[in-house]
Amino acid sequence: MLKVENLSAAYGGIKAVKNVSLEVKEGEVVSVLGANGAGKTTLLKCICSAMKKSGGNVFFNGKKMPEKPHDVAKMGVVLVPEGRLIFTNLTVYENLMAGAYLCNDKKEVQDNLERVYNLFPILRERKNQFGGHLSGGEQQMLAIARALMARPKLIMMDEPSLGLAPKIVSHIFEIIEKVKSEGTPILLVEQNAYKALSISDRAYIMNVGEIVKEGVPEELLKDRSLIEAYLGS
Amino acid sequence: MFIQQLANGISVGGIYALMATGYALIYSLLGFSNWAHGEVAMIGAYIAIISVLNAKFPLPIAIIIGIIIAGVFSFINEKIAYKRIRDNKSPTMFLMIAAMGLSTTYQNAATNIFGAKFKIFPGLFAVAFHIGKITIGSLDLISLIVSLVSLVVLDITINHTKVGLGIRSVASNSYTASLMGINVDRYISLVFLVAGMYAGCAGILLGMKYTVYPTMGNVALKAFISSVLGGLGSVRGAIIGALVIGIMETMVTAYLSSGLRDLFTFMLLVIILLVKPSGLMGVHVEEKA
Ligand SMILES: Nc1ncnc2c1ncn2[C@@H]1O[C@H](COP(=O)(O)OP(=O)(O)OP(=O)(O)O)[C@@H](O)[C@H]1O
Ligand SMILES: [Mg+2]
Repeated sequence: MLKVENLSAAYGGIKAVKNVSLEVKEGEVVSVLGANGAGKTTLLKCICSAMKKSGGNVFFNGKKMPEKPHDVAKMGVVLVPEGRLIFTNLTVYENLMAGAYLCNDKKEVQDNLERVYNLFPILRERKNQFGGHLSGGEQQMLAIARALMARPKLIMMDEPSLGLAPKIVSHIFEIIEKVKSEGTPILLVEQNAYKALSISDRAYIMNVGEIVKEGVPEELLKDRSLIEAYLGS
Repeated sequence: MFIQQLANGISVGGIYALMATGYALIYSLLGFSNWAHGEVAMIGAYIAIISVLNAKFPLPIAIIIGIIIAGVFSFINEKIAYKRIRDNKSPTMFLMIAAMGLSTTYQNAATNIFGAKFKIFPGLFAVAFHIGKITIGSLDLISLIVSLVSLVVLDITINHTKVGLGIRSVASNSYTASLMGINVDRYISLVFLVAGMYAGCAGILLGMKYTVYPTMGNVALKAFISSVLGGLGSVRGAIIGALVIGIMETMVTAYLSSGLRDLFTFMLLVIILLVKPSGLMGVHVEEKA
């Protein structure tokens, strides 16, 4: 459903992504793994048109991706951004409603809210608190929940485990698996390679802007030297 | 006497609030001080007064024309100047410099086109109403009602509607808002249009209360102080700040001396900056990394 063809992107003269091609099929969880500065965030930003690409194409369900990020969201592609970027001065409830911005059916929004609160009971308890007053883990849950409120056809997550305690990381990955089991395809960017591979159908390994390897988790995990070379874990 | 002054103060404060809220909204979205906001008010006042004096429109029609044109000017300012600066990802300081340029340009244009002389709205009904012990002029009463209704409508829109949530999301983080499907540029345009209309309305009310002249937009400084007083970027704070300043000005004029009016206003500003820099209504929510 998502197809990226020869995508390139640069900051000024510095090429951050070079000729990257990848694909996410119906119902799949696909990981993009790589060390700091590999170009993973840049890649996701280009896919959702938050950043201009310098070359290549992105297709979603056969259609070219629109050029404005809000139009990309309209197509059902939603990014959970790096660093969570929740609306700190809005309440938890308002954050979730902002996520449901494109849905005009009140009943559907209400059902969706209920579903999301069931996935993250802590958010129900905290619904009237400011987003900025949540802990890091809670903020990450809110960022994911907010994206789910949009009922995305494809959800992209940029390092959802970044900076969280191991217990919280496990919890976040359980949630990602739940989202997967509901049938929503996920494009997951992670540095936590083992965790990410454990829930992925396929994975790409990125290094200084290029895809250096693609495969199924079992295969990639066999090649220890590869993981050590590019993922350092 | 005191109640009387309070009523006058609220009436003046309401006019300041019409400007301060727009100023605060723009600040909350783009993080810069829109120095051209006062000139938008001035344009609204001039358009209304020439619509009455020269084009002989009935006053209510002239007022509506003035308000709409002020909104259009504000909208165009954003499109021709601020949007380009944003698209170029230039520093926020450039926005403020552009606004200062626009402000001076409009003041000079107004002087050249309309002359530096004061203009006075003709034949304003000078009926006074008596409510209990308060005597209030028809104009003050109208401006009180107009501004309070406009402010309540604005407050409800911002805090309790989907459009308001969109505006607050863009203000909080425009990048994330765009990822949620919110059309950031459209909201910014909307805010400039509405802020301009509110400023135009304030300009017309001030012009009717006092006079219309090219530098009347300098009153935006009061809106700016109101906004800082209430908490920069907060709409409700701007309303409260404006009312506080309006009331204080009237009280100082009535009980002390009109010469001390601005001194007290600036003193209040300094005190707030020293004691509670986030403003009366400022909630400070820290960003977490
Ligand atoms: N705003 C920017 N301006 C200039 N260069 C940038 C900018 N953002 C990223 N880069 C550079 O582009 C390259 C790729 O960055 P990117 O953020 O995409 O990497 P990443 O794989 O997401 O890294 P991380 O794991 O640290 O998040 C890096 O070399 C980085 O220094
Ligand atoms: Mg990154």
